[in-house]
Order: sequence, then C-alpha cells, then structure tokens
Amino acid sequence: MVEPLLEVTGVVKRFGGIAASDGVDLAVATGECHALIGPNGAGKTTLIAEIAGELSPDAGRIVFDGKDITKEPAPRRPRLGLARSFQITCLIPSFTALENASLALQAHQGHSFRFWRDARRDSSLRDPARGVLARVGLEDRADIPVGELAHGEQRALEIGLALALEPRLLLLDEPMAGMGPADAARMVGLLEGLKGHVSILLVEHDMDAVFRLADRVSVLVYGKVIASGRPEDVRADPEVRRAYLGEEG
Amino acid sequence: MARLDRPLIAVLVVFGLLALVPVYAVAFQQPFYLSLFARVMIFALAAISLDLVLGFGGMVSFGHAAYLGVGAYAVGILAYHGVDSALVQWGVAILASALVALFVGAISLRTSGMYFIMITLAFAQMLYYLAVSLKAYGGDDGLPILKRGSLGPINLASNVQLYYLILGFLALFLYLGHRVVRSRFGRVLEGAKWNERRTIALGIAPYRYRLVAFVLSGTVCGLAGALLATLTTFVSPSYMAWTRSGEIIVMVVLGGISTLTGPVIGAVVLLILEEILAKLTIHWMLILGPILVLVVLFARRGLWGWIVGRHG
Repeated sequence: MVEPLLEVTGVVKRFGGIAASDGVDLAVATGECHALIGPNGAGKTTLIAEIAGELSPDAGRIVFDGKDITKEPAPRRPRLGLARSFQITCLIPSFTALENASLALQAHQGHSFRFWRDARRDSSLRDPARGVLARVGLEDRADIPVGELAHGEQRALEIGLALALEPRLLLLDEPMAGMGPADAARMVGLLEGLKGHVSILLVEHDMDAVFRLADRVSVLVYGKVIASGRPEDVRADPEVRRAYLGEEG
Repeated sequence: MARLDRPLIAVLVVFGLLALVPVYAVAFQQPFYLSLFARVMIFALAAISLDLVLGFGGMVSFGHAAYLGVGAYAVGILAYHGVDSALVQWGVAILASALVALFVGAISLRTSGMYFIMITLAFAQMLYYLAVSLKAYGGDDGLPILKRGSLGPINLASNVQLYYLILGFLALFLYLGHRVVRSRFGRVLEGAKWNERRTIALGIAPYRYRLVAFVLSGTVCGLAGALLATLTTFVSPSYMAWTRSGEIIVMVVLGGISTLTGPVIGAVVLLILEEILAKLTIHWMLILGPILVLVVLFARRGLWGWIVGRHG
C-alpha cells in the first residue's frame, strides 16, 4: 500500500478526566479529500489542533509525509506543508483582506526580518496576495478590513490564507460553520475546485457537503475512530448509524 | 488629497516649531527654553521607542525608564573615568541598553498581559536599586558629569548645537520607526498583536520578532538616556524610577498609541503642561490628571488622532 500523507497512530489527549482523543488512528492518502465526522464533543477540533501542533498529544504518533512531527512546534508545520483553517474565524481583524493574505505570503516566503521596504507596496507580496484573494472569490474585497467582511467572506478568506501557504495537506475545521445555504453552496464549490490539487482533511457537520466532497470518511466518537471508508460504506455501517447518523434524524 | 496630507503637515509644523525654539531662546535670551525643549525631545525619542513595543507589538513595558537609566549611567560612568569621547560614551550606552533589553526581553516575553507588565516593572526596579547601591558613582545622590563629551566638529558644550543634534536624532528615529512599522517585520509584529494564534497558524513564531522589537526599542531608549545625561550633565537613579516609566506610557497614550508621531506630541504636551501647571500650583497633578482622563476618553487615538482626523 502507498504510504499515507498523514498517519495518526494511537493519539491520546486528556483534559482532566475526559479523553478528547482516546487512541485515534487515522490515515489520509495523498490527493484525497478525507472527511472527519462525528457528534459534538467527539474530539474533532482537538484532533485538528494536535495535527496542526497547537496541542501536544499525551501519547501516540503523528507522521506527516514520512516524518514524525509529533513534537514539531506549531509554527514550523506550515513549512512542512500543513496548513489549517479555524472553526471560529481567526483572522487579523484590523488588517484588510489583502493585508491578511500578504501576511500569509510573507510567512510562506521565509523569515520577515526585513525592516526597510514598505510591505504594502511590495509587489512580490501584493501580486500573489491578489491571486490568493481571486482563488477564493474575494478579489473585489481586497481593501476592506476583514472585521467588516460578511461572515461567508471571512470563511472564504480563512481558506485563502491556508492556500497561500501552498500546503500539501489542508486541515479544514468546519469551513461551513454558521453559513447560510447560499454561502455554504459557494464554499462547497470552492472546495470542489481544490480537490485533486491538494489533500484535504475536512471536519464538517453538513452531511450533504461531506458526501459530495469526501473520497473517504472517518467517524470519530468519544475520541475514537469507529469507522473509516468510502462514504456510502460508512453511511451504511450500522454502528455509525447508531452512534451518529441516527441522532441527526 | 489635501486631507490625506494632514499627518505630514502636522509633522512638519511640529518639527518646524521645535527648530525655531533656539532662535526664540537666543533672541529673547531665554536659555531655559533650550534645555526644556531639548529634554522634551529626548523624552519624545523615548516615547517613540516605547510605542514600537507598546503600540505596534502590544507589549506593555512598564519598565522603559530602565533603558533611559542604563544609557545615562553608561555616559556618566565613562565620563567619571575620563572617557570624554561622546561617540564612545553613546556607543557604549547603546550597546549596554541593547544587552539589558535582550536579557529582560528574552525572559519577560515568555509571559504576557499583566505578568509582562509586572516583570518589566520588576526588572526596572532591580536596576533602580542597583543604581542606588552604586556608592562609587554617587548612589542615591546621583553622579554629576564634569563636562559634556566631545564629538568631532560638533561642540556639545554649546546648548544650541546639542539641541539641533537631538532634534536630528528625533527626526531620524521617527523616520526609521515609520519604515520599520511598515516593513515586513512591522506587519508581523502588528499581526501577532492582533491575533497571535493566526500568525502561528501561518508559520510565524512571534517570540523572535517581539524580542527583536523589544531590543530595538530598548536600544533607542538607551540612546535617549545617553542624550539626557549629556544634556543635564548629571545622572541619578531617579531616571529609572517607576513613575518615569509610567510617564513615558502616558506620553504614548496621550499622544496616540501606535502612531509614532503621536508620542512625540504627547511628550511635548505632557512635559510643557507639567511645566506650566507646576508654576501655577503645587497641586498641578490635580489638574493634569483630569486632562489626561478627558483626552483618553474623547480622543480615540490620542491627540494625534484628533489632529489628523481619520487619516492618521
């Protein structure tokens, strides 16, 4: 079997008496869109945070692209090709959309110990930053402070910032959180356009979106992956239906 | 267009007026104004340096007077031992304050928020008491400097020449400050202030950037201290008093946080008000306090925001 791009093995994370990750095993293959679903409190966001490096697991291993990154500090992971978006929008509110994208590109281009040239007039930042905004449909919103952008636009920019890092694996934590149907449809369209270009680990509650986008689905319940496979197989799995899909009605 | 130029016009007016002070002082034989405004400009320089970390980096250093003191003591101690080249005195002052800022910053930046405020204050207090304990250099009473250093063709003994040199430094560092905060470095610093989590997710570790900003800031503040010692030909632990650190913060907030030019205006207004009010009454603090409260309440970006409107 081809070595997976991301392999999570036996990851445990406890908060007090609660195990948010209770021996998680998960593999994401190169090129696939892998959806991670599960009821609220199943530990999905915790797992994303462990893969992104924000939380350090108590036990287990995370291997990315053949390299053990379990102990790799969070700020180094984007350089390895791992980028994430946040469930709760996490942008720099006083910066414009273009400035947010420029900062992402600055990070991607190496260190920022450059003290002289005006970053806002730097065409080696501005031009690719405009490209990033165009990819997520925000080219007309470049000069608006992100605090004034609509919710759907902020969510799109979240994806844009991750894409600016040219990741090999995109970790998307509920990209459609809080969206109305029109915005959600636009987001699904955006993510469909990314399929095949970048591997995606997608946490999402919107089942229609999951079954449209995912090549494979893993189901996380109480910190454990109880099923993993093709969407239709997972949907038919009786244990999954009992633990999760049944609850949704 | 004309409105967009307001910040530039305001800067030119401020520097124009500052440049005219010696003319006035000499014409009307009021040498007092020379030393008063020279001191104002030195604090303006310290306030600019604080604004870099406080305004742009979001690091509330409550111990910036320490660098003022380190710079001043470097000059005082060297002068005491007969080193009278200002270049050497100031060079050592810059180096010493950079090292102290590196040490303090490297430790303090592991904390944030209230802890950062307290730890920077604690370091400044340690240096204050260190200066008090330096009996060989005057201890509590301070250390007089017999004569100002020499600086090639510039005669530092001349109050006018020293004044314009300080004005030149202020203009230079205001310009450099503007470059830095607009650069890639400045964007990272500001980005990390607003959303540290986001910058980390982009692959930027804010600590190193903050530390560099802290050292740059401490170094410029150290130069201000060296100039202060040269101007007053006297150094004392009071330069490092925690009230002094507070005063520099007030200058920044009063003038306009994260504006760089605002703190210059804040320094001018605060020190001149102090001067005027202290002549009126010994209870001048009672008048100054409410003025500060009103400015903070009603001018969103301090006096600078009020001067330039929304375009600052």
